[in-house]
Amino acid sequence: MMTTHFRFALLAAGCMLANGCIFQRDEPSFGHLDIADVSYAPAKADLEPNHVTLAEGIAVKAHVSAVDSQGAVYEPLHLTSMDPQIVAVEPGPTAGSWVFSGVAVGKTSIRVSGGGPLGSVGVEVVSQSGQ
Amino acid sequence: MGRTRKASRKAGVALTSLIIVAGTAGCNYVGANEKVGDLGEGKFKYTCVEAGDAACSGSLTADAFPKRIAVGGLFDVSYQPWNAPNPGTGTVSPVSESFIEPTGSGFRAKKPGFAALLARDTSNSHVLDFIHLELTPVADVDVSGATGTPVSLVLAPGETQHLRAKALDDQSQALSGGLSYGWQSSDPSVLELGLTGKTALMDVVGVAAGNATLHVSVAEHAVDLQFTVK
Repeated sequence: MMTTHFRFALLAAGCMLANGCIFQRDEPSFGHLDIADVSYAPAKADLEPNHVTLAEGIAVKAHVSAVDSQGAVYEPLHLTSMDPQIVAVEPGPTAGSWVFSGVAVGKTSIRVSGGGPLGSVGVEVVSQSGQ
Repeated sequence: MGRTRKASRKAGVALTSLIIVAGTAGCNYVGANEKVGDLGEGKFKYTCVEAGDAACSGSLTADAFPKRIAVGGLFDVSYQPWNAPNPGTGTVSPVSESFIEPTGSGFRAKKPGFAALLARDTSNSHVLDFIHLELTPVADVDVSGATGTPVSLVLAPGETQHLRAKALDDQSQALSGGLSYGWQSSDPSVLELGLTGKTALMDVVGVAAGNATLHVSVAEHAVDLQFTVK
């Protein structure tokens, strides 16, 4: 014969399982950046969906939006350099445009948020002489 | 008949005025010493900070926006968005101070390569535009008369000659930017130098009969000119 406490514990465990397995929502995760309208750059500037490579000393502008794992597009975004001593990311002159600047040779990442945190992309700033 | 000609002349003057006004104000006028930013949102203007900068033949106003700037060269660049009435509306700063460093009067080119200058709005909230400059090492030095004429190597006692030195790239093209030049006479009792400092401009004066060598140097490059005073 089960005690009342034991019945409660069983019920609570059942609810937790149901919540975890049946009612769990599939949260979309960050997929990649969608990059368009990239300005001319006189040295290396590869703006890929999941990685940015930029020559030291130069700047490049692009229109940036984010795409999640389910294909939903996030815009407007906020981009933040995790090390502004290596790469700077600043809003550009038009809505949705961002300017990437290669400050010094090194590796870091850019945090992508769109209302809430979405994810990040890796960045490498390379020397102009060694590109 | 006379009235028709008068009316026609008036119309011509009005049309010319309209073209001038449209060309200088309404249609994003770009002067010879200016260059449209890479994003096309405004124009950048080059200004010499030292007399003798190859970009400026007379005053500190550049004749043209330079294609290449010498490593070590001093210069200034300002920005004017199309919708702003005056230059200097946006603040201009380099992307990387290992290429271009700010100085009290403008900027100094530090190492070879392409280097961007960013123009931001006055509140620094976003980038308005940018421009890339090509920074080139000095490969040679050349000396001419101040107006570009060949140097006269024979002077009379008391005669003064105005000279201008130019830093050249490896294609023998003049490089812009104010540089520090060295001027030295092997015999000041024959050939005396003026007191114009370490700029690209120098006066040489024939003092007394004899021979003297003028040594002109910039960034580890030098040229010697043999002068005769008679």
